[in-house]
Amino acid sequence: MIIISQTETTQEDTQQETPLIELIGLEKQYMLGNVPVNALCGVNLSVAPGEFIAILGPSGSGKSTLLNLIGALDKPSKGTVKIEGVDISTLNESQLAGIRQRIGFVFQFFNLIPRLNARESVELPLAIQGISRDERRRTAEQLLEIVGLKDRIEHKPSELSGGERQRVAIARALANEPTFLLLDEPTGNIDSKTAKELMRLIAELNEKNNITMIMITHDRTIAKFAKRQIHLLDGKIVKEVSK
Amino acid sequence: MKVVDILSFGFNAIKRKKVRNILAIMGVAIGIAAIISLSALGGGFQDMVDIQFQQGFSSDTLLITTRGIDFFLPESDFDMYINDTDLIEEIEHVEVAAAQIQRAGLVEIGNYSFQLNVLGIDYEKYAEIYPDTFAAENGSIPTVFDNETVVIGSGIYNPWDNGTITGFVGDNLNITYVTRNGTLIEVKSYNATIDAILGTIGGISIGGPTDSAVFIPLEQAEEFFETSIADIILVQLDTDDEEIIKQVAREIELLFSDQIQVVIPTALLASISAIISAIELFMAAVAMISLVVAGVGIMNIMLTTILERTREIGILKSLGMKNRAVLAIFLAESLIIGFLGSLTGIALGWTLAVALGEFGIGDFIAQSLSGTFVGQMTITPVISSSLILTSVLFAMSVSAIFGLYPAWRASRLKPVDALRYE
Repeated sequence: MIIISQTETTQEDTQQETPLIELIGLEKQYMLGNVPVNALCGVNLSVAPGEFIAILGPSGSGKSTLLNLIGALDKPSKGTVKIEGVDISTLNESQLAGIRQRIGFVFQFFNLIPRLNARESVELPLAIQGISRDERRRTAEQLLEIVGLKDRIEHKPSELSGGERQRVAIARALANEPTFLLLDEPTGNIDSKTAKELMRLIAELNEKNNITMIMITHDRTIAKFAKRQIHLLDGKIVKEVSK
Repeated sequence: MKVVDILSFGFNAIKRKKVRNILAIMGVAIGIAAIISLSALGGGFQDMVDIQFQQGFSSDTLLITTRGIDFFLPESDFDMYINDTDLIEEIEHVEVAAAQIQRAGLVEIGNYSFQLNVLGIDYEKYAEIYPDTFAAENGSIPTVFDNETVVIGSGIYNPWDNGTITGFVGDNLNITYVTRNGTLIEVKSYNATIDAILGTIGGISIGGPTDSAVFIPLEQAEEFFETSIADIILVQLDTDDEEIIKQVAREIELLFSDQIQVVIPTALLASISAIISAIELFMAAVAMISLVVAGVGIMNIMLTTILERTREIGILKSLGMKNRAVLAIFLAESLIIGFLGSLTGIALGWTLAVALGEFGIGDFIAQSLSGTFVGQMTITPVISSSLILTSVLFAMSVSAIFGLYPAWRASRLKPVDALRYE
């Protein structure tokens, strides 16, 4: 882990840099049975390094679709997704995999592999990159300590609480030193008290380690942890609030 | 992703679904066990036949018969007489020609009696043709003899190989021969004295001495069986040049106007070997079908596995795993199943082959071949490193072929769909 020293950057400064993520005229349609659904209708968004964005909206507003597009898990019907200036529609499957290696995903349902214990889960993205066993182990243990699971290293998901599982997922998302983290309702499946603790951890990682966070939520109290809030409705950005 | 990580990831996944994967492994193991045991026994049988025939025949010996070894030709009514040997001996390159009269007789020795082949032979000529096998271990083959002499194979003296001795040199042996005379059944018998017991030869031969034969002088056979028709004439040549052997064989055939068959032992050996190989190949093909069935089993469980682990595939892809690596992971699981299956199969097949060899498949074959008691015949299974290597490779290829499609399907899943899969 590289701990980037805290540098205060104003909103104006970051606007002038190359945006980390740039969405231009993004549209996504998919078929629900025989009915075409417009999940996104022309979304423009620019994310600067170090930002913490919450995307709010009711279900069906296109939040998850947007996140999948940013995470290179899906392809837009129209428009461009640029990550660090690269239009990802020009990339092939293998290059897309390379892009995903630099993105950390945290899902609502944790998406941990049941047979792997906490350490193995965190090691997995590193193993995918072909990093040696010893180094993997060291990094994984370090990260689990950061997320507060030092004494849960050998536990499997079934032996962990919801909050703990999500911490494992965060540690896993951080393992390959991502340029940004995508969090899809990270607190959706855990109780409110644990959710607050988890959000403090996420905010801290954003503050101290300058990791860019893009988080989906429909919970306004959770969204308050973010510096910038984007409201989505029927596939369009309807409101933007910055702290 | 490193190969070792791919393998350990796959192995880890296999361990989590023990019953299902053990069943798939057993499927492969059964196929491999069948291949290994059949090939090992086949190889052992081939070896045994080779050794027997090499002992029973030398390459410069010819065998003349009216009955024929060829199953497809009609039997000839033509007869050879025992003094036809004189004519044959006049042919160039022929050293010795020995006639043989062969009948099945009831042989009583000690408290035991067996239905055996009784061979009437010229001791001297026979010993000349078969110096290694027609040699006494106990007593001596008489050079000057009366009609009451008899030489026996070691299988008669020690039939069960367990120390039970039926009789020894100097003991009496009664030979009974039963024929039809018109509507009457005519029973003849006489007492002989054992003068010599041959050393162990082991197994079957055509024409040559065997462990379960009783040898009486030719003149005695002629008198006792009331015939001067020779069943077989054995010919010893002075050369093992294949061309000359063929030429002499042809000359003999012409001598008897093509009414007899001259068997060239090396050719016979070659054709028997070819038959064994063909049977072996057929058996192996049957075994291979079972391995293909196992392959279908692998494909089946891998498709199920992939369906169950769709979400996992989505996770792996979201973590940046390339399609190639996803393919490799699931292919590795099939290969691990194939590999473990082949190891289990080799152990299983080997045990089976040894057990069958040990507990009398040899005797079973020997008995079905001769129809009578021929003594002990143990097949020692032959397992070569190339057989092991081939079966492992074959099992791995089958798993690879049948594992490829499921793995390919896994690798083609769209990450977003895979993650959403419930």
